[in-house]
Amino acid sequence: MKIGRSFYIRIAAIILVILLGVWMFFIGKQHTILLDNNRYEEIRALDEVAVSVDGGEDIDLYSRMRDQAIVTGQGHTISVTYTDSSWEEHTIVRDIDIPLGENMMIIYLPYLVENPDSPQEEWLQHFESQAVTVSPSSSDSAVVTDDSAGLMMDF
Amino acid sequence: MTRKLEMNNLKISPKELLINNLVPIMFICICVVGIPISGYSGSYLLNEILSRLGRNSFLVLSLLIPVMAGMGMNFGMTLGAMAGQIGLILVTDWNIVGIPAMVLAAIISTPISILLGWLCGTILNRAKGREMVTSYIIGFFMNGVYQLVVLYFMGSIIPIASSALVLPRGYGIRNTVNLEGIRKSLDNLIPFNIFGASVPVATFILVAVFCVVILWFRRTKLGQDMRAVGQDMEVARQAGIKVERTRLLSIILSTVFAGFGMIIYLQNIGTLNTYNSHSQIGMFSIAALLVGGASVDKANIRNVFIGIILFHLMFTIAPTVGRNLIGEAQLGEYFRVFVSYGVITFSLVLYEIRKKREAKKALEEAEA
Repeated sequence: MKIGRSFYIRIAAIILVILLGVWMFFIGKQHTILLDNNRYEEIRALDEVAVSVDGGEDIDLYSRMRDQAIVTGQGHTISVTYTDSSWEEHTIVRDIDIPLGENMMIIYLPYLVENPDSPQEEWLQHFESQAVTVSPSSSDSAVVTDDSAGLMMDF
Repeated sequence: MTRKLEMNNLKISPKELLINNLVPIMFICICVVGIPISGYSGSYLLNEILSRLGRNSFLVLSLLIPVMAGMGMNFGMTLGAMAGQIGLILVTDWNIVGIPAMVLAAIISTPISILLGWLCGTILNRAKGREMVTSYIIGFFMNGVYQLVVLYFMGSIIPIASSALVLPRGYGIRNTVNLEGIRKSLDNLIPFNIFGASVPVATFILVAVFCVVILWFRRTKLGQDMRAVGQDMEVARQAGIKVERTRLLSIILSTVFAGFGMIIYLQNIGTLNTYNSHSQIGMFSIAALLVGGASVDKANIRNVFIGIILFHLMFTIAPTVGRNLIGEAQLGEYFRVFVSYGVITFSLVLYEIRKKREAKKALEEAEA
């Protein structure tokens, strides 16, 4: 079989489309980052801390509070502003790189403030949601495959 | 009456003009009568029409290519819609959001659409002259295959991690999939308002690009071949055109574009009705195109936009008109579905009458 120029062009086009798909996967993946201001091992929670993700609005957290930020993509910047015992304000800015397969991660803010130069693996960890599974209603689990059921849909 | 209208060097009598445009004229009358009864404000109707134009244009435009190739209305566009939905289910499971999710869903849907389009086109090549009814039945058949994949394979053979998608039994996708991650991501990409109505600028740009692509495509070698095949298959074959291949390509292209159209449609709606969203899409898109003045053998971009505006204007006002006239909104709902089927039937009957009349006229001329 003779392989012509068009064959290579087609292969290159397919590879380009696949690469585009991979790129979209990387930049479009949504992650939830939990911001945790609870006691972490021996490190006590901060009295008050303001966290901003990617320059967004500040999320204020008092002691023993947890909030979340929803981000898209892998690379982000987190800015943590806190007040120490002598009422001096400090800001820690760190770049974080969320592993691709992770849907939900947790940042232990007290540990990060205590060890601002520590590697991200120490304060940014995988988090498994402990949400209670609620049985769906019977109407939700019943599958309707009848064509005429969609007849009155809002077109 | 000897008065004739000169249009494109063709002499068309007013009666003929009326008959040729009976469907759009009928719809204009319905809308003119219905709008005051509905009581809707101009800005509300404008908002609805702009939203529906953005939502449906791509789907309806995807029907033009098979018409060009003489294959009539592609009821098989449902296959592309299914492929688009599979792409959307997967990106929702992977937690991909925004425009990247739409692009990725389109990339996933493309090979599925090509495969389904090839299958549909191959069958249609064996059913020449009966393409529409055949593609309609292929749609039903493929719906069964789609249900098998989505209801039994997803979650068991095809990994689906999200518990929000999978049925409680552990496999199969739920009735509705929340597309919150991509909802209006294209429509709201370039925010713009006019008279209080939100204009989906980015969607319109995409539709405009598609229109330009269709116009350009008509001038390419393949486009010319399709038109030649559409006019006369035997003559085209004598001219050295690979008729079957050309017809196959037209169906594949239409199916792929229908898949993209379905993704655009669902990003506007924001919810995927897993087992029903695709089933009616072919009928409503074809009805809209026919309302715009298209026929089985002739359709253009103008028909697409006129059709969507008129058809969806009727769709918007019908329930309220029904409620205000008879006190039952449900009657308006039935009316719009009845009209959708009715307009397809009416157009097909008109097309057959016209074809027979032309054949009779040609025979008379030949005898004379």
